[in-house]
Amino acid sequence: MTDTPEHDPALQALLQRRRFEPASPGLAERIIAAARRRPQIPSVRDWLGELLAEALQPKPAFALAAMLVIGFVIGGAMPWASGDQDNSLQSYFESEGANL
Amino acid sequence: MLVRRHSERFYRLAYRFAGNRSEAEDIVQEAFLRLWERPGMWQAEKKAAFTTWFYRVVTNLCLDHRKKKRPLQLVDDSWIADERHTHEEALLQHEKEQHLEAQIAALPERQRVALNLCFYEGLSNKEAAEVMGVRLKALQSLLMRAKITLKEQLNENG
Repeated sequence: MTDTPEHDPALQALLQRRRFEPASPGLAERIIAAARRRPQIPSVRDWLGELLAEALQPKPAFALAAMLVIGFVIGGAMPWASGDQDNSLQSYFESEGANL
Repeated sequence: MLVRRHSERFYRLAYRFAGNRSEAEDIVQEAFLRLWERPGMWQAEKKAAFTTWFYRVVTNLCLDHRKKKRPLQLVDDSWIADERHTHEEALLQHEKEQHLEAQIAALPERQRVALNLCFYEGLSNKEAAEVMGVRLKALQSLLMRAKITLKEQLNENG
């Protein structure tokens, strides 16, 4: 055995005598209880993943909203369903009535 | 599960820095709560094993804690209740412990971390180097310098 600090038995023995107090018996339970009181903060990646997972679900509310949007788009695109068409029909009857 | 398996191990490390039970327990609790709040913390560094990575978290918390709270509280008064020794022996033992703690506390920060990880936690030099983010040679050098300094100081003071 050499007498370098790395292998010095006296130094090793002295360092081994360093004071140590064991942890309280309920340390793990205390940490778990504290964790239950704290909410988890999701990372941006988790949050986006959850959002996409929700969006991909064919849930009734999602389907209903999609149908409404499609309905509005189709309704807006049909010329006979527009307000202008109603007005022109009314004016047609009015003009027909005037002719009669 | 993770807490039950590892809390004792990380408490030991925190105790070596804090010097008393309640502060060491608070540090370990804070480390686990940070992991609980942001579970993605560890996944972001998948290359490192959990224990290696968590040793780094606890060590950093200990160093921050110590910077905030100076001077270091070395030991409490529980030695008084130790019935294995007479009062005089207990006093002598207490003085020796305080002296050793003071010498270790006086070491440069990186030497102290290296000593705590390798000597007291039993990590291999390679593992400790990974925790500290230094090369193996640098870790060995830190350890050697810590031991030389301690030996010199302890010899000087008898």
